[in-house]
Amino acid sequence: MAREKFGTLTEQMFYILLCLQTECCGMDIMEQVRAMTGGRVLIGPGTLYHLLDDFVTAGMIRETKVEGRRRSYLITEAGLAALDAEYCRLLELAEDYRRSRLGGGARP
Amino acid sequence: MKTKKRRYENYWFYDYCGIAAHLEEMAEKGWLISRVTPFWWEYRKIEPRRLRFSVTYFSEASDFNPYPTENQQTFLEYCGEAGWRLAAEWAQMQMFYSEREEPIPIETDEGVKLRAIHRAMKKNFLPSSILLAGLAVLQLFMQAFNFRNGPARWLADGTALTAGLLWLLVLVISAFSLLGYACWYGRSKRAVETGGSCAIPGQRYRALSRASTVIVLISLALWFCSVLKTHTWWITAAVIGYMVLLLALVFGTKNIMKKMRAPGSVNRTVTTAVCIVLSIALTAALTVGILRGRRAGLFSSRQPEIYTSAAPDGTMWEWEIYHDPLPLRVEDLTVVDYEHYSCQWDARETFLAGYYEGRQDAPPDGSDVPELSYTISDVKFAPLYGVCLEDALKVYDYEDDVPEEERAYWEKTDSTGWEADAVYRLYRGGQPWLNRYVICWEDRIVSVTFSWEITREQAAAAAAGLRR
Repeated sequence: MAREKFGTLTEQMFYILLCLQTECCGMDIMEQVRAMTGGRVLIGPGTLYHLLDDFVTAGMIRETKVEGRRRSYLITEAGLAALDAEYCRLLELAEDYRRSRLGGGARP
Repeated sequence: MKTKKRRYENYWFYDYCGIAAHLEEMAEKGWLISRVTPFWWEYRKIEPRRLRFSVTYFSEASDFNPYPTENQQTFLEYCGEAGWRLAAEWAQMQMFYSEREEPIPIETDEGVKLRAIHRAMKKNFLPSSILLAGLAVLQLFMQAFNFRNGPARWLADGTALTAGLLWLLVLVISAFSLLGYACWYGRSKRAVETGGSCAIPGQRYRALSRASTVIVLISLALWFCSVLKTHTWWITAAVIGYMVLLLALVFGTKNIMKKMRAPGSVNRTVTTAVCIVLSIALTAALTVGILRGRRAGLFSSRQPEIYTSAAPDGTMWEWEIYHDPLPLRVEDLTVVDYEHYSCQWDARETFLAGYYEGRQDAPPDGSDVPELSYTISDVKFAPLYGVCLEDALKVYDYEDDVPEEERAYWEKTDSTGWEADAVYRLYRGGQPWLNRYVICWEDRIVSVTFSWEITREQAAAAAAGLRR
């Protein structure tokens, strides 16, 4: 289910996973992503809550700490694999773009 | 100065855009939503200002929970961090507002938003709408059954007509809301899969919902006015009181349990049990009340005269004798010297039909005097005439068990004297049976039973009385 659901990551999923390479409190992710992308990508609180919940269910992140209602999370191996797969996909897109727009012919 | 305002609002549960836009409009007028109940929305007075509203859905939320769950608290805190404050909740729906000019939307991923809405819909809106539609179908079947068993009587009964119309509206509204949601969900899903946004819930459905509310209110008002004119208005008043009391007790139980901080599951179980037990208990109390009211003569605008007769073995019997004016009496047809006749007349009428029942009986006191009974159906809507006539010419169901050659049947007979469009008479075994006739005039069908064989002159006199 996880692979099917997260086969391709949206920008918001991608940046949430990126943030969680180091342990991070859910609430801080919104600000971190905004800072990381210079305000280009904004994650709404509802979307953040639901995505964190989905990622935990899919085993892509795990809860590391609960202080009151502040919950911290960290990416898992499955999450890292999804992040790497998305990175490769983006590289392939960039490569295809380069070949098509800047010359270099078809793929070998 | 008024600091609170209550309004009846008519929005479908998934109409998050319409609700947010409405709440923004209210805030600009100086009213901030503060509470949502099943019957009204409550607003509190604020300085008129521009607030941004966002309506979200959280499937774990429930009206039965005494306070938000841990997960819901986390969700609320995330929203608070982004500048969104919770104004009110309605089951799985939360209404947030922000004072910021350009706040980050609560939902920034359309796919995630659609999943959250659909999860919440599956928990509340969809099952309740399906249940309501099922209940409406069941009620309409019962109404159709009653119509089949006596179309003219049903058409002339304002309460039955109103109930039929209201349940039909309930079915239409439930079906449209389910269909509307299915269409919206399908459109949104397709759009989201191709990178687009969720569809905006249609204005058409909102307009339909409002129009049906107006129709419901008008029907109820008309029905209530018609009921007030009858002598059984007190039954309607008792039923309305019963419903108000039941709702107050059920919602009161839920609110008290919430105040006592009972867990949501316990509250739901207790409230459901209270609802079932009270429904049964109050229905029983209502039935007893109606039966006692009937015995006390509240069903009738007139009090019967009590006639006491002695049986051959000396036992004394009491009979209720009525003296209602009748359009046709035995005395109009034949000479009779008897003073203990009971004459009963019952009338009901709507814009579709009038249905009148008259009977002149003698108590079984040994006197062998002629008797008379009849029903008059006035069909005001011509296409319904055929079905009413068909019903008048129906023979009893138990005739199906009788061998075919012995079964009772109606046969067109000589209409001389009756001056009618058609006259039918009941036969059995080739012979007239029970002196029963069905007489058809332009928009009137009369079923009449005489206790004696009438002559042509008596038929003419009966026609004159029954045609009036």
